[in-house]
Amino acid sequence: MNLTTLREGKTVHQYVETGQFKTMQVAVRFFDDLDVETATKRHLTLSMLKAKSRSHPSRRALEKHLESLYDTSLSAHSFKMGNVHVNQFTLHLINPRYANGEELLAAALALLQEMLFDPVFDEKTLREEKRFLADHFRAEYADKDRYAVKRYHDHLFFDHPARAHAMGEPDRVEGVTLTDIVNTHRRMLRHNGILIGVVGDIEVEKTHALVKEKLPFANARDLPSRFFEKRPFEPREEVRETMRLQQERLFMTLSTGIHYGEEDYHAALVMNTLFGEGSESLLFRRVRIEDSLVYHISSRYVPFHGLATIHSAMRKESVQKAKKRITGALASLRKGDFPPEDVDRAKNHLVRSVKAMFDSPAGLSALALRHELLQAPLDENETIASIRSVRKQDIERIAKASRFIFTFTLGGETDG
Amino acid sequence: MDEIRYDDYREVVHHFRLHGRLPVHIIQKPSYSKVYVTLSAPLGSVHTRFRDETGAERTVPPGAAHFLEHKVFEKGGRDVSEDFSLEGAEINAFTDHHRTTYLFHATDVLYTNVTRLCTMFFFPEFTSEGVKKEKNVILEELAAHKDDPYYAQYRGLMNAMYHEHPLKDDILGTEESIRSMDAQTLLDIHKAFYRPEEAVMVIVGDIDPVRLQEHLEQADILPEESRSAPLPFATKESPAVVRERIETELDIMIPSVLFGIKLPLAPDEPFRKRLRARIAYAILFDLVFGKTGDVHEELLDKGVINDSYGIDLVFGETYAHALIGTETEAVAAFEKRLQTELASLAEKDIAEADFLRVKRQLYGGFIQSLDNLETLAHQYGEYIRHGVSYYDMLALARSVTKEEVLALRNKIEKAHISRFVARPEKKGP
Repeated sequence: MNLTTLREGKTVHQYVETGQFKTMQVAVRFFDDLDVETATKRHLTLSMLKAKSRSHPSRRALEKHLESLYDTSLSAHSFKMGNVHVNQFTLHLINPRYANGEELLAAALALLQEMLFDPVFDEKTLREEKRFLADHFRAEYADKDRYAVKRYHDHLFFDHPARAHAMGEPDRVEGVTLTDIVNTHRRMLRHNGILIGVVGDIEVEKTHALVKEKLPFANARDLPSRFFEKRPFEPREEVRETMRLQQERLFMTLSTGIHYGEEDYHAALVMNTLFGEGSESLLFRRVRIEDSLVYHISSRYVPFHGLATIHSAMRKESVQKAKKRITGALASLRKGDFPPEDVDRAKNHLVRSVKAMFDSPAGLSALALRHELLQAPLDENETIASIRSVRKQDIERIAKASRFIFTFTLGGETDG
Repeated sequence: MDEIRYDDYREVVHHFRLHGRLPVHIIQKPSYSKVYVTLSAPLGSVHTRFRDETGAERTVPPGAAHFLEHKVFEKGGRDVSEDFSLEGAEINAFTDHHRTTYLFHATDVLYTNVTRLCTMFFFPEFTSEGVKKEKNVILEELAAHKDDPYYAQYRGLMNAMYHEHPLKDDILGTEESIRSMDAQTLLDIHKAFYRPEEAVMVIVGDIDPVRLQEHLEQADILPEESRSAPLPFATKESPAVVRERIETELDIMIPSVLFGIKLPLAPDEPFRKRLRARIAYAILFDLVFGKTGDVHEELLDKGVINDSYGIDLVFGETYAHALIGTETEAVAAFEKRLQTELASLAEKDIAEADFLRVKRQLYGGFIQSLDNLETLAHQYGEYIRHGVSYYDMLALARSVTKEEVLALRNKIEKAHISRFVARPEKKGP
């Protein structure tokens, strides 16, 4: 695997050459500030751009075209990196070697070129996309886990810049106009940082020439350099909401105070894994295997905010016991009351995740992105060495400095 | 050891039978960090009968396959996952309608984890106490299903479609069957279904197959031959559905409609023939009901459907059906249009250009699947159980003719179709 980074004006091009895969991935990412005011417009603009093109002026015609390119997939999604909003197009296509040498990459990029530089923005498509997005928000209610996560997020971040959702807000959908779309599109091309990543069995020079020709972003801005502000989360009152559910959804927020790239970052990763990631973690072992209270329990570390969220579901009468076991597990970490093998397991888990990133075009593309934006090492050995160097006393120290700041539960009304 | 080269795709597969019994398939993927291993037993939620060591015919209680999957991880009160993780592997398992699959992925230690997987799979050491404790965990898993309105819709549709087939029941079983599960029954079921000759191991990654075989041949990891065995699936299912339509209220905000269409695929026919029919059905449904068809475009233009609309063709060993569903505020319009299209399917023609395009789509999808170790292992394992290599699927797909696809149009009758309409409950959030 070899990464070449080139710059065309302020647009960054990353080319990852690898003969490992039979497919290629092209990702085009637009970076802007995360803002409740603009997230809905940005997401709808992305959806509008992807809906159709000048040469393929209906969703059906576009779908046919992609199928004829050997099932090339074109996806568009919005996501957050800390306090930054990202709109991303992703093309996934087979290597031309397996397509009788057809110029699939050129054809796929030509499609993207048309969508981005000569878009079809019309009222009918906007009405459809607004309806899709409004329906999407309403359908979230049916997925009780997703709904619970969203409610938890809204409570936790209610006064924080990260409170905006990547796809926007339900009550802002209706107000978006075609003018908003045109302006947001203009801003994406002229006032966003832009990064293009290509992964596959490619020749860099030839591929770069093609990408440069098809995607000439002449007015891009600098890529973002600040993804979070270190802002302490103060403890807040526990919140319980109810709806008709068999199981209570329980969320507990642990503030570690350790953010991405800081000296203790890898130690915080190991601590979180040991605490609640995977079936070998303390929480899984104690709450599921020993106590049989739950089917799943996990802890997820969010390094942009220095937080870890413990998430589980259980019957109402088990909640208090589960909470005690969760706080008890943190107490064990603080006291060093865990065997060295547990630390080894946690490290093995993380090392596997690091290595697995190299096994897919999407993983490599994400690695290269983090390398550019967050100066994350590209060499797996460097990351693995950092993980392996974490000591038991580091985990104890971080656990001692960590504290639970918020608890949210959803559920519990069996009679409606 | 056999070596099969698929030069068109630059792939190599090795195959041997461990101690002449357990089939092991190794798909070499140079440069990959991860090795992905699956070991499957032919026990799923639809299997209801077996013969035990004494020769007596026994019943598999509902949910037993799934319960057993949980308990195979227990070694005398301990969770064997811990041993895998200490040696750099992450193990998991799942139960579907026709098989139970254990899987792990590792990046460094392979050989000892493969032997550990075999030992765990073939030599269960779970306890009565462990079975008792696990009941709560599975009841929690079942409770999660009950909180999922779309799952309720799917289960409701299966019950509207199938008269006798166990497909209509939850893979997890019922509260009652879970509560009454006992260790000895699970051990007896294990003995009948977890037999090396009937299991399949698939290993995908950058590995040396000769060294792996040598390592495995040295280990004593297979059980003695068992006299107990599965009894053939004997449920007779009518091609007609039980009920044409069900409507109910669920805890949702947008109405949802799910059509189920039973597809006539004779389970007794050779797998290759059934596979051919599967491909032909997939092409037919994609062209008529997929995103390049008239129906999708028309319903979208009229605002009847949104981007949740989807079709799914599901082919099991003992059943086959198509699902078409959407969220919609225009329930009646959606139902009417789909019914009309299904009723006039026999008159549908297929343009040559569309047919060729779908062939290219199938080819592209196949090549893409070769880059994903998990997909490849599961697909390969599914096909090879029936004596067909996944790599031969493409040649088979290429040989399917338009005439074969068109011939299927007449096989779908009104009596084969059911639909489940879910509307929001009157009281909302």
